[in-house]
Amino acid sequence: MQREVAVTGLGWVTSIGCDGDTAFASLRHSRSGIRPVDWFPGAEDSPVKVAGTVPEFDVSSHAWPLWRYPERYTLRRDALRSLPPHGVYALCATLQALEDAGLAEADVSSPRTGLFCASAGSPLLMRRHLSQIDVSRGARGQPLGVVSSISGTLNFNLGAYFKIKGANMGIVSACASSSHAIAYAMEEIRSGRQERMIVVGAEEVNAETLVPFAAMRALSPSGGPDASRPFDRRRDGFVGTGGAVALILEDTALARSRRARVRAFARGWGQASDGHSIAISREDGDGLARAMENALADAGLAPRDIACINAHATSTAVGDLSEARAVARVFAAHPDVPVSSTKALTGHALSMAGALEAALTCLCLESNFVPPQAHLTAPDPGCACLHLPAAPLPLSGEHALSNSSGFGGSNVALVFRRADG
Amino acid sequence: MPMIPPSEAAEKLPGYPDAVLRAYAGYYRDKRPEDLDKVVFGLIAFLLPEAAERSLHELPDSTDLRADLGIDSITIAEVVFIIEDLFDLKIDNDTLMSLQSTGDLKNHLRKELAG
Repeated sequence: MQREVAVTGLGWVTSIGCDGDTAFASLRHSRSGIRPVDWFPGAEDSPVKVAGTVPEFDVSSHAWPLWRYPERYTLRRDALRSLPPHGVYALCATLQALEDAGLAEADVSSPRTGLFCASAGSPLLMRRHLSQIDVSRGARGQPLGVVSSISGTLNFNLGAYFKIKGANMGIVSACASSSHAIAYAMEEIRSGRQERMIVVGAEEVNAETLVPFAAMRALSPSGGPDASRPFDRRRDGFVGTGGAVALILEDTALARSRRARVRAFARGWGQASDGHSIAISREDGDGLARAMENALADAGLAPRDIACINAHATSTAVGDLSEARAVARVFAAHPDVPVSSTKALTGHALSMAGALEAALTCLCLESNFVPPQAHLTAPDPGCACLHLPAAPLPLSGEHALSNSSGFGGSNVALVFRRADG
Repeated sequence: MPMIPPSEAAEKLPGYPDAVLRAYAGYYRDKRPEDLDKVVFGLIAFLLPEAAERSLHELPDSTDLRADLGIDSITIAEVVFIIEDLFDLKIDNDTLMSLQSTGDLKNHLRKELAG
């Protein structure tokens, strides 16, 4: 019989809060984590006016001795030296999640515990290191330049810090990355290869990571805390964010045996690709629709079993419409399922988005809470087929779905079940 | 090229201990070997996981960098990278591997800079 997967720990370093209580209070009261940024001082018309910045932390410098983080974390200097800025977020979120799960060092550094990570690496540090090499004509380069900046930096650093002895790898599928990481972590546990998995998604919130998306015309040029407006007629692009979210997944039998608090069950997942474009969602949402159908089949559920959907919707013109069509197709017989995108409040966390939204989905299941669609004033007519709640709702079932889509047409849907359901 | 001025060193080492930057400024001015030792071993101490119980430049020359101080090869490479930048030196891989003790490191740098 297939093993059941429990979520036993969550860790948060996000624009809407750096602990679970604060993040959930922000969600409950629709408090936006989007704040003004001035990454190009003096520029007349900066392409980025707001971002989901991370409170309590300052890792804006390339130099680790200048990084600031809350005093409740004790981070070793030798660990900081090889981290990228978002690695500080990741380390703190992981420490938080392990504490939430009640795990000791020996539980983590065990051949039965693995680590899957997702991030885009650190363009900030990469640029600096390459610049040093360029200026010196190849003669000088920072020895830790590679491991602190390339896209596997999280699994290198966290793997060493926590002395991981099981599976350890990074997963790259752009904005679907950390949903893929959760999905394959589930598979490790279901297959019995690992009994426990740590999944971490993290990104930096700086010009080097986010402004390149302005060149794609994907970022909102608007200002204000409501610049991210998924499914709204006025939406004009996404607002970037970063931070880190960590989840601890365990074989439910193991979690029960050690009397861990189960926060939710990871019930199933599905993926499918658009086969369409490098960066633009297929208009009819076919790939995401099939990903949701595959997730429901994997979980052994019908559309009517889903009590709410955390949408991927990033506040872009094409993407939100595509997802609306996908949801409308899969849930044609259950059109009243509430749909909301928490990116309205958090911003879009890129590789980390799937982990962030999965964790928020777990909190919603735990608290019997369906978030409203924040910043929605006039729904796009093309999205009006969806039930986009204007106010919070009580959950009317036991299961919730969380969607992610990434460049290249990758789509992942995750299904979670309430722990007491 | 000469060693870089203290103001430039401070820009290259943001957040590093004042004592290291003061020793660097002292060496830049007076070329006293004691100040050079304080720069080098101050850098190493700052990159170690825990604060050292005593100043590293006061340790006996026989102190093994790896076995006694727990410094790994990446940390040595990082210290050397900073030293190369500050003093405009080039330390090749064979030399890097041959530096086993605090005395080896101290004597090699003193000799190079006396150059």
